[in-house]
Amino acid sequence: MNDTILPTPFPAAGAWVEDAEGVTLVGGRCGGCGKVAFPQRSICARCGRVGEQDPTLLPRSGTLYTYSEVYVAPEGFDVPFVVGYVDFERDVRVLAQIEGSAADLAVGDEVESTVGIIRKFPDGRSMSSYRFRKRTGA
Amino acid sequence: MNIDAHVVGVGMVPFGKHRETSIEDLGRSAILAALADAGVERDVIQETFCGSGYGGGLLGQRILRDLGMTGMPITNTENACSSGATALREAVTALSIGRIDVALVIGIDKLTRFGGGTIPLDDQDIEVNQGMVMPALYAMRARRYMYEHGLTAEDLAAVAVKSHAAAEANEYAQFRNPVTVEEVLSSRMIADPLTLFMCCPTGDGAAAAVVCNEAGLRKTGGDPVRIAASALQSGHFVTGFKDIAFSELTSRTATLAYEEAGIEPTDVDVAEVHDAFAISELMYYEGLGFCEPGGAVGLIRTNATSINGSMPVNPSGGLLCRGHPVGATGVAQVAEIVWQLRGTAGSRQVAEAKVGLTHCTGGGISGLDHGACTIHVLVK
Repeated sequence: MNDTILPTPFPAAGAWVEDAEGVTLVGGRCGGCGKVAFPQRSICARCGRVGEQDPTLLPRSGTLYTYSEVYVAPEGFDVPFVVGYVDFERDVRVLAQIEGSAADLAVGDEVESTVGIIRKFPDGRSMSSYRFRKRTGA
Repeated sequence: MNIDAHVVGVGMVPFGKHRETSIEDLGRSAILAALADAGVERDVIQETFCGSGYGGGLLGQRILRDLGMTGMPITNTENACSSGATALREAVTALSIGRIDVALVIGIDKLTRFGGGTIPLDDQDIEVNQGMVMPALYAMRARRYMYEHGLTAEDLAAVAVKSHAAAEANEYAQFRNPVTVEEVLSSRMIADPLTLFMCCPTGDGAAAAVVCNEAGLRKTGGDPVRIAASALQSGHFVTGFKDIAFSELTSRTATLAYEEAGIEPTDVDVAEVHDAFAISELMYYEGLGFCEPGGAVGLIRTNATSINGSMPVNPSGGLLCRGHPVGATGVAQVAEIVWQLRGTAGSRQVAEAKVGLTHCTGGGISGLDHGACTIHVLVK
């Protein structure tokens, strides 16, 4: 078995930063219209400006908009797992896996960014990525 | 462009798991049935439009070859769940501008080739990479809808119960067994809160239609049904906040279709709606303007959308029970509406149906409500 942990290819490197406080997602801000999006884009979908955007740190935590515990997924996903949309200030919504069980979650929960394994392939390799977890003691 | 198009013949194969039959043979069976229904020979067809989500390259040619029908222009369309309906729209355009008088439209897919499970999505998509599958997207819509409008799991189950009750009378449906709310709720979980019976099945199928313009009516038999609107839209790319419990894409497409047909939502007597999942049907009642946002809960609880209700939806059993071989659905919906408007739908007939609507939407792509949405309005 091959126990390599691959970084997620989507988005490419630089999508988050990690420090003693935890993980923070890095989005991009359009130099033309100011629209913030995650991940950083090379073309602003709102105003159409072409060109690299300014890296912008998202808030450390966001609000759970909706979620589901998924029991049927393609090979390489360890079912069941929870996915959800998380809303961050400045009109940014991010889909990612959420740690734990859906039974512990509710719409409106405050969640924070983290990093963990999102896929486990049959040959033993796995993939790490940004994820979310419910913020406790906040 | 003024629409000049009439459906003169429809045909389909029963949807289900046709593992022993090739996709080409499924297509040919549907075509032969449509030609017979239209009362025409093969040489009357001047162009063919073939819609499929997963059928692969040159599918129209592969199907028509053995019927001796190649040589004419054949256009293959892919637009996810709207592939078949998109093929119909291309035919409507060709007829309306007078390029041809008689067209053949095919909608077809064979999903058993994937062995079951969720339909394949683009692995290079940022959300698909995180584990997004179509049931998860709809499950998240359901969760948000429940949060906003007080929808319950029992209401979702009621949609499946209604579909199964209708499909019992449909010889083309994949599932024809009645089910109870309890059975729906206790079927295995697919993406919480959606259970197995709240999700459309994996299946194979084909549907075909012979469509012509006024000039073409003189070359065909059959019992024509006029196409009054043919609308197609794609989802807007939105990276930020949006209400996923309401389909902006369906609403936008419906507005165009109603305008083109010169009707209001209340004029629709029967609708075939894209209920890939139980929550979809409820959301699309609202997107199609059959009720206000949040009003779908009341419609399903009062049986208003059952065959004998005030706004009958999916008398065929819909995608949940007729099945959903992706590209076939749009044309199968048209076949059902043609039968309903002709008054030949047998024991699932909606009384005095004169105006029918078909609605197809789908395609999982991050940032978009859906890839594509198609709506056709048919009038007798």
